[in-house]
Amino acid sequence: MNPTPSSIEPDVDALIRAALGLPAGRKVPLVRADIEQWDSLKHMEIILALEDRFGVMFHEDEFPALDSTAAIAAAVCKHLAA
Amino acid sequence: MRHDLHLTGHAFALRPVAVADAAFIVEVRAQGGRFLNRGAATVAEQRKWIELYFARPGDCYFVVESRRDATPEGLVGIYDIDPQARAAEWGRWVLRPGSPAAVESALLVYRCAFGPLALERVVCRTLADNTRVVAFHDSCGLARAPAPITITQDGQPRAAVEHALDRAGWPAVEARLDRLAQRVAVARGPSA
Repeated sequence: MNPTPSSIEPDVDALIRAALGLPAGRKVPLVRADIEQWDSLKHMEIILALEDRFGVMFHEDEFPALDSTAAIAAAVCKHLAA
Repeated sequence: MRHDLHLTGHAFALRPVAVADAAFIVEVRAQGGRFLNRGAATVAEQRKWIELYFARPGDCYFVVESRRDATPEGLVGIYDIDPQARAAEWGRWVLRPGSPAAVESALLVYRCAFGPLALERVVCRTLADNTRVVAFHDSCGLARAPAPITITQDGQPRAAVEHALDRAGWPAVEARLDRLAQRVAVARGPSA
Protein backbone atom coordinates (compact mmCIF):
# COMPACT_ATOMS: atom_id res chain seq x y z
CA MET A 1 0.00 0.00 0.00
CA ASN A 2 1.31 3.41 -0.95
CA PRO A 3 1.79 5.98 1.82
CA THR A 4 -0.46 8.99 2.13
CA PRO A 5 0.79 12.59 2.35
CA SER A 6 -0.18 12.82 5.99
CA SER A 7 1.72 9.64 6.80
CA ILE A 8 5.02 10.94 5.39
CA GLU A 9 4.72 14.58 6.46
CA PRO A 10 6.64 13.95 9.73
CA ASP A 11 9.55 12.48 7.75
CA VAL A 12 9.47 15.34 5.25
CA ASP A 13 9.30 17.88 8.06
CA ALA A 14 12.30 16.32 9.82
CA LEU A 15 14.30 16.19 6.60
CA ILE A 16 13.67 19.87 5.80
CA ARG A 17 14.47 20.93 9.35
CA ALA A 18 17.74 19.00 9.28
CA ALA A 19 18.72 20.53 5.93
CA LEU A 20 17.96 24.06 7.08
CA GLY A 21 19.30 23.71 10.61
CA LEU A 22 15.91 24.43 12.15
CA PRO A 23 14.88 23.14 15.59
CA ALA A 24 13.25 19.73 15.46
CA GLY A 25 9.77 18.87 16.57
CA ARG A 26 7.93 22.18 16.44
CA LYS A 27 4.38 21.94 15.11
CA VAL A 28 4.69 24.80 12.64
CA PRO A 29 4.05 24.06 8.96
CA LEU A 30 7.19 24.70 6.92
CA VAL A 31 6.65 27.02 3.98
CA ARG A 32 9.57 28.18 1.84
CA ALA A 33 8.31 31.75 1.52
CA ASP A 34 8.47 32.14 5.31
CA ILE A 35 11.96 30.72 5.84
CA GLU A 36 14.85 32.87 4.67
CA GLN A 37 17.40 30.05 5.02
CA TRP A 38 15.45 28.08 2.39
CA ASP A 39 17.48 29.61 -0.46
CA SER A 40 17.91 28.13 -3.92
CA LEU A 41 20.98 26.11 -2.94
CA LYS A 42 19.26 24.66 0.13
CA HIS A 43 16.24 23.95 -2.06
CA MET A 44 18.36 21.67 -4.24
CA GLU A 45 19.93 20.00 -1.21
CA ILE A 46 16.45 19.31 0.15
CA ILE A 47 15.38 17.83 -3.19
CA LEU A 48 18.41 15.53 -3.27
CA ALA A 49 17.78 14.46 0.31
CA LEU A 50 14.12 13.74 -0.50
CA GLU A 51 15.10 11.66 -3.51
CA ASP A 52 17.55 9.64 -1.42
CA ARG A 53 15.08 9.18 1.40
CA PHE A 54 12.03 8.20 -0.65
CA GLY A 55 13.61 6.69 -3.77
CA VAL A 56 11.89 9.11 -6.14
CA MET A 57 13.20 11.49 -8.79
CA PHE A 58 11.69 14.89 -9.43
CA HIS A 59 11.62 16.66 -12.77
CA GLU A 60 12.89 20.21 -13.08
CA ASP A 61 9.38 21.49 -13.72
CA GLU A 62 8.38 20.27 -10.26
CA PHE A 63 11.16 22.04 -8.36
CA PRO A 64 9.42 25.41 -7.78
CA ALA A 65 6.26 23.77 -6.41
CA LEU A 66 8.18 21.80 -3.78
CA ASP A 67 7.82 24.74 -1.46
CA SER A 68 6.24 23.41 1.73
CA THR A 69 5.98 20.26 3.80
CA ALA A 70 2.48 19.62 2.50
CA ALA A 71 3.35 20.19 -1.16
CA ILE A 72 6.42 17.99 -0.92
CA ALA A 73 4.57 15.17 0.84
CA ALA A 74 1.90 15.25 -1.87
CA ALA A 75 4.50 15.24 -4.64
CA VAL A 76 6.41 12.34 -3.09
CA CYS A 77 3.22 10.30 -2.77
CA LYS A 78 2.33 11.04 -6.39
CA HIS A 79 5.71 9.66 -7.50
CA LEU A 80 5.43 6.61 -5.26
CA ALA A 81 2.00 5.84 -6.69
CA ALA A 82 3.10 6.22 -10.32
CA MET B 1 35.51 45.05 -21.51
CA ARG B 2 35.02 43.07 -24.69
CA HIS B 3 35.98 39.72 -23.29
CA ASP B 4 35.67 36.37 -25.01
CA LEU B 5 35.11 34.19 -21.99
CA HIS B 6 32.67 31.33 -22.40
CA LEU B 7 32.01 28.97 -19.52
CA THR B 8 30.06 25.78 -20.08
CA GLY B 9 28.43 23.89 -17.25
CA HIS B 10 26.16 20.87 -17.01
CA ALA B 11 22.90 22.60 -17.92
CA PHE B 12 23.80 26.27 -18.29
CA ALA B 13 26.56 28.38 -19.79
CA LEU B 14 27.95 31.89 -19.52
CA ARG B 15 28.65 33.90 -22.66
CA PRO B 16 29.69 37.53 -23.12
CA VAL B 17 26.94 40.14 -23.17
CA ALA B 18 26.40 41.70 -26.62
CA VAL B 19 24.60 44.87 -27.68
CA ALA B 20 21.85 42.62 -29.02
CA ASP B 21 21.11 41.54 -25.44
CA ALA B 22 19.89 45.02 -24.47
CA ALA B 23 16.19 44.17 -24.64
CA PHE B 24 16.68 41.01 -22.58
CA ILE B 25 18.70 42.91 -19.97
CA VAL B 26 15.98 45.54 -19.56
CA GLU B 27 13.30 42.84 -19.35
CA VAL B 28 15.00 40.55 -16.86
CA ARG B 29 16.20 43.39 -14.65
CA ALA B 30 12.68 44.81 -14.56
CA GLN B 31 11.56 41.44 -13.18
CA GLY B 32 14.46 41.37 -10.73
CA GLY B 33 12.75 43.27 -7.95
CA ARG B 34 13.71 45.93 -5.49
CA PHE B 35 17.22 44.77 -4.75
CA LEU B 36 18.73 45.84 -8.08
CA ASN B 37 19.90 49.28 -9.03
CA ARG B 38 17.34 50.85 -11.35
CA GLY B 39 19.72 50.83 -14.33
CA ALA B 40 18.60 51.52 -17.89
CA ALA B 41 14.87 52.01 -18.31
CA THR B 42 14.79 51.58 -22.08
CA VAL B 43 16.49 49.38 -24.63
CA ALA B 44 18.21 52.44 -26.14
CA GLU B 45 19.63 53.39 -22.73
CA GLN B 46 20.76 49.83 -22.19
CA ARG B 47 22.54 49.78 -25.55
CA LYS B 48 24.45 52.93 -24.53
CA TRP B 49 25.31 51.34 -21.19
CA ILE B 50 26.68 48.26 -22.97
CA GLU B 51 28.83 50.44 -25.26
CA LEU B 52 30.27 52.19 -22.20
CA TYR B 53 30.80 48.83 -20.54
CA PHE B 54 32.82 47.67 -23.58
CA ALA B 55 35.19 50.58 -22.99
CA ARG B 56 35.56 49.88 -19.27
CA PRO B 57 38.49 47.71 -18.16
CA GLY B 58 38.16 45.05 -15.50
CA ASP B 59 34.51 44.26 -16.13
CA CYS B 60 33.12 40.99 -17.53
CA TYR B 61 29.37 40.87 -18.00
CA PHE B 62 27.70 37.59 -18.95
CA VAL B 63 24.40 36.23 -20.13
CA VAL B 64 23.45 33.02 -18.34
CA GLU B 65 21.87 30.77 -20.92
CA SER B 66 20.42 27.30 -21.12
CA ARG B 67 22.60 24.74 -22.88
CA ARG B 68 19.47 22.97 -24.07
CA ASP B 69 18.23 25.70 -26.37
CA ALA B 70 20.36 28.81 -25.68
CA THR B 71 17.44 30.51 -23.95
CA PRO B 72 18.75 33.39 -21.83
CA GLU B 73 18.10 32.71 -18.16
CA GLY B 74 19.73 35.73 -16.58
CA LEU B 75 22.78 37.90 -16.13
CA VAL B 76 25.86 38.00 -13.95
CA GLY B 77 29.07 40.00 -13.87
CA ILE B 78 32.59 39.99 -12.49
CA TYR B 79 33.85 43.54 -12.17
CA ASP B 80 36.27 45.87 -10.40
CA ILE B 81 38.96 43.39 -11.36
CA ASP B 82 42.19 44.48 -9.67
CA PRO B 83 45.09 42.95 -11.63
CA GLN B 84 47.61 43.73 -8.88
CA ALA B 85 45.59 42.27 -6.01
CA ARG B 86 44.15 39.58 -8.30
CA ALA B 87 40.75 40.26 -6.76
CA ALA B 88 37.32 41.26 -8.02
CA GLU B 89 33.68 41.54 -7.08
CA TRP B 90 30.86 39.56 -8.64
CA GLY B 91 27.25 40.58 -8.86
CA ARG B 92 24.65 42.12 -11.18
CA TRP B 93 23.12 38.68 -10.68
CA VAL B 94 19.57 38.34 -11.83
CA LEU B 95 17.70 35.33 -13.18
CA ARG B 96 14.29 34.88 -14.70
CA PRO B 97 11.72 34.17 -11.95
CA GLY B 98 11.72 30.44 -11.22
CA SER B 99 14.93 29.79 -13.17
CA PRO B 100 16.86 26.77 -11.88
CA ALA B 101 20.17 28.37 -12.95
CA ALA B 102 21.15 29.92 -9.60
CA VAL B 103 23.51 27.23 -8.37
CA GLU B 104 25.24 26.63 -11.70
CA SER B 105 25.56 30.30 -12.61
CA ALA B 106 27.34 30.92 -9.29
CA LEU B 107 29.53 27.87 -9.93
CA LEU B 108 30.48 29.17 -13.38
CA VAL B 109 31.26 32.64 -12.04
CA TYR B 110 33.72 31.15 -9.57
CA ARG B 111 35.16 28.86 -12.26
CA CYS B 112 35.74 31.93 -14.40
CA ALA B 113 37.28 33.87 -11.52
CA PHE B 114 39.69 31.16 -10.39
CA GLY B 115 40.27 29.76 -13.90
CA PRO B 116 40.63 32.09 -16.91
CA LEU B 117 40.80 35.28 -14.83
CA ALA B 118 43.34 33.69 -12.45
CA LEU B 119 42.01 35.64 -9.46
CA GLU B 120 42.96 34.84 -5.89
CA ARG B 121 39.89 36.29 -4.20
CA VAL B 122 36.33 37.19 -5.13
CA VAL B 123 33.84 39.10 -3.02
CA CYS B 124 30.11 39.64 -3.37
CA ARG B 125 28.17 42.38 -1.64
CA THR B 126 24.47 41.84 -1.05
CA LEU B 127 21.91 44.22 0.39
CA ALA B 128 21.18 43.02 3.93
CA ASP B 129 17.44 43.06 3.15
CA ASN B 130 18.00 40.57 0.35
CA THR B 131 17.94 37.76 2.86
CA ARG B 132 17.47 34.94 0.35
CA VAL B 133 20.64 35.85 -1.54
CA VAL B 134 22.58 36.44 1.68
CA ALA B 135 21.45 32.94 2.73
CA PHE B 136 22.52 31.55 -0.65
CA HIS B 137 26.09 32.80 -0.18
CA ASP B 138 26.11 31.44 3.38
CA SER B 139 24.89 28.09 2.06
CA CYS B 140 27.68 28.00 -0.52
CA GLY B 141 30.11 28.05 2.39
CA LEU B 142 31.50 31.53 1.81
CA ALA B 143 32.98 33.50 4.67
CA ARG B 144 30.97 36.52 5.80
CA ALA B 145 32.84 39.71 6.62
CA PRO B 146 32.63 40.20 10.39
CA ALA B 147 31.04 43.65 10.18
CA PRO B 148 28.20 44.87 7.98
CA ILE B 149 29.17 47.21 5.19
CA THR B 150 27.40 50.00 3.32
CA ILE B 151 26.85 50.00 -0.43
CA THR B 152 25.08 52.47 -2.66
CA GLN B 153 21.82 51.60 -4.37
CA ASP B 154 20.42 54.22 -6.71
CA GLY B 155 22.54 56.82 -4.94
CA GLN B 156 21.38 55.88 -1.45
CA PRO B 157 23.58 54.23 1.20
CA ARG B 158 22.23 50.81 2.17
CA ALA B 159 23.31 48.19 4.70
CA ALA B 160 24.91 45.18 3.03
CA VAL B 161 26.66 41.91 3.77
CA GLU B 162 29.99 41.01 2.19
CA HIS B 163 30.98 37.42 1.46
CA ALA B 164 34.38 36.39 0.18
CA LEU B 165 35.88 33.32 -1.41
CA ASP B 166 39.60 32.85 -1.90
CA ARG B 167 41.45 30.27 -3.95
CA ALA B 168 42.14 28.09 -0.91
CA GLY B 169 38.42 27.81 -0.16
CA TRP B 170 37.33 27.29 -3.76
CA PRO B 171 37.68 23.48 -4.08
CA ALA B 172 35.21 22.80 -1.27
CA VAL B 173 32.70 25.31 -2.65
CA GLU B 174 33.14 23.90 -6.16
CA ALA B 175 32.46 20.36 -4.97
CA ARG B 176 29.30 21.45 -3.20
CA LEU B 177 27.92 23.50 -6.09
CA ASP B 178 28.93 21.03 -8.79
CA ARG B 179 27.05 18.15 -7.16
CA LEU B 180 23.85 20.21 -7.12
CA ALA B 181 24.37 21.58 -10.63
CA GLN B 182 24.75 18.04 -11.95
CA ARG B 183 21.45 17.08 -10.37
CA VAL B 184 19.68 20.06 -11.95
CA ALA B 185 21.08 19.01 -15.32
CA VAL B 186 19.76 15.47 -14.92
CA ALA B 187 16.31 16.79 -14.04
CA ARG B 188 16.45 19.13 -17.00
CA GLY B 189 17.22 16.51 -19.62
CA PRO B 190 19.82 16.41 -22.40
CA SER B 191 21.69 19.58 -23.41
CA ALA B 192 22.39 20.55 -26.98
